[in-house]
Amino acid sequence: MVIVSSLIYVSLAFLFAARIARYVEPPTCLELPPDGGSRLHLFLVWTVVAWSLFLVPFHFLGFVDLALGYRVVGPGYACLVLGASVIAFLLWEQVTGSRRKPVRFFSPRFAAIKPAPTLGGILLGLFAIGLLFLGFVRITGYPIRLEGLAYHLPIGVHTFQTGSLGIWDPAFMHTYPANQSLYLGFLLGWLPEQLVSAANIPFLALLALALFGLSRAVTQDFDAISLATVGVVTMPIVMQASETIESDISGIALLALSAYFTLAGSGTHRRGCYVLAGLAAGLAFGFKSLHLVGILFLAALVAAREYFGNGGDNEQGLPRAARSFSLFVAASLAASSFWLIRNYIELGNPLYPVFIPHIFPILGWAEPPDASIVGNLATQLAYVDSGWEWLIYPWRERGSVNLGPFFAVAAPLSIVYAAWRLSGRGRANRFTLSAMSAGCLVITAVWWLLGDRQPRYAMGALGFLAPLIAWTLSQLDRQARVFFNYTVVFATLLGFSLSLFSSGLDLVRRTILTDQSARHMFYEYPPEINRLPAGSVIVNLGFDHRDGGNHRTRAWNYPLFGKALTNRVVSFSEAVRLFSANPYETQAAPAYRLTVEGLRTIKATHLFVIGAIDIDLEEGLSLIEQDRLDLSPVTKTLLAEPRVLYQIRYVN
Amino acid sequence: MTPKQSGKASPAESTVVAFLGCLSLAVYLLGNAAFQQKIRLILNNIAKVVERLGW
Repeated sequence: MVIVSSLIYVSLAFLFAARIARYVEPPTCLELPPDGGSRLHLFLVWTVVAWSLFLVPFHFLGFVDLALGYRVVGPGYACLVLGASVIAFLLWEQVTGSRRKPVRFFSPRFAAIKPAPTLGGILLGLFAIGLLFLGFVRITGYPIRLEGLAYHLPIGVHTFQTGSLGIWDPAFMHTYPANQSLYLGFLLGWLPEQLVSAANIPFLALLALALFGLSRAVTQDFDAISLATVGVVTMPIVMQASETIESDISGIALLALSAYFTLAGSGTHRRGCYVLAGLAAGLAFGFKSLHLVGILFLAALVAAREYFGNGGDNEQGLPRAARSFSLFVAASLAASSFWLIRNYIELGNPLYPVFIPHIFPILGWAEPPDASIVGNLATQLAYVDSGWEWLIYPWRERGSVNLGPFFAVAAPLSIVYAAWRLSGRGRANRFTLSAMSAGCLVITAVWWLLGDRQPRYAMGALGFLAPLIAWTLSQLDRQARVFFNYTVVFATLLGFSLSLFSSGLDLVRRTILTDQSARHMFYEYPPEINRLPAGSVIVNLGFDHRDGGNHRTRAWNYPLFGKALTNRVVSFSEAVRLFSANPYETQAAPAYRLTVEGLRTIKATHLFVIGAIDIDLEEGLSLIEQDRLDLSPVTKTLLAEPRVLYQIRYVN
Repeated sequence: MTPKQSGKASPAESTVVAFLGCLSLAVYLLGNAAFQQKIRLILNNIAKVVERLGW
């Protein structure tokens, strides 16, 4: 039943998107090159509408849950909402007679992407092959990486188990907008888990298309655009993000789409594009609320474009800027307001866990007890020793390769070159180039000021970077261009092959050197967890000492749902809050005091524990060991700390 | 959205940009510990796989 309703829902969303998108931007009026740039544009239009139609009905059902308490978030009810919308729309078309001619949103080739064997064409081809390889590697395993396992996937599974988009666990990292969880939870309802582990690969392709389109705003040089686009999307940090099921890649793909539509519209058709830009921005916020910075920048850009791009008539410019800005913001809110309202109602702060001192208290918005988004300077120590070293970080990465050789070769140089040209001669593309440079600058500056300086938190700037690099390449004189082209291609292929080799070796390790085909072997947990009766509630008390903190511990949340995803899980942070004396201390192994009342309240049936743990059982409770894993199925050696599943017995 | 054609960079400018790009790559390859470590890790893993498979 879930499979059928899910398939109907996806089909409805895709087809309805094609129908609605006809109204957004009649392709005959586009001021795009007639060689097929419009095909790419139309596909991107369809993509934004389709994503909006896919996610917004779930938000609507979330509102129903919030307002009326009906737990209706699921593909069946979403089908009803979308189906009703389709019928209403078709009736409106009939009554008003405003039906538009069909438009081909899917084309076997985007004419902009010429099949000619130029350097850019070859690189695009290699990227496409690499993408397929990456997808293949992912579908041979299970979802990976901390944030996905700790909360994106658990929240997704929990949402569709309970029919509610309410907060699963008030620990700050679980309270962010959860479009990624909706997407993953929906897919898990009808697709094998292995396929879902490749769920972010399409976003990498989408990011490439958005950057390709965005770069066309500054140059028509196909090779330059292709080299810049492939260079950016094959940066190790981007490739890693697309291999996981975290929300980094989905967020930046949608932010790049928003930037594309902010600059794509022209003449009387700008307004439609601003609506699409706003929708994409709202969706990007729902995937990763950190992109609020980029979104605010784009909103300002919309206003600036209308104000200054009005032939100097500033009397006309101001109202136009205000109208366009309002359109962008309204569309953004249409795609994101659910998360703002949910967090306001449940946690007293629409942007929770974001809290800005001195401002939010005036508004009466709550401060999270367990998080601060400013001043986490310690996180940068994994990358640099002191703040100024970020200036040389692209050339002196340590720990892990994040930005890669392409970034070192092309990014700083392009930014400096664009700034130098803008300050001197060259009026052409001045506004667009300034906007791209400002986008990079603003996002990086806020990243710097907030203090949690992990490179991935500045990834929003990549959307603005690709066009700058494409433009710089396109400006070079012939001989220097050939030389620089090959330097860029070499750097790109170096970074790209590094990522592909890592993935390939991961595949070999999992399939040939060890057997991790079964889910419990992949995640290394006692297999009995897969065989528990549906609805069993496992409390994650496991404190994984391997990283001396709570990271690996939180990553246990998802595996405990079991192979059929029918277990319920009480997250590690929730367990600490419920049963530990220090409810927000998750960095040290907690001492638990388990009470009958506390466990009965959450209907707990099982405990999951790693190694020795300090548990004080209230009278009336007993624990019976149900299964344990002492030997690693991967290395065939004794685990430092066994993983144990206990059944909870309520004596009275 | 259609970009205007702008005056391109002079040959001297272009040469400087291309040279700096190449220099950047050289600095990256020689000075980036993480990159070198990653290459070593991959090569070690390939060696392990080859050894394990008895090739």
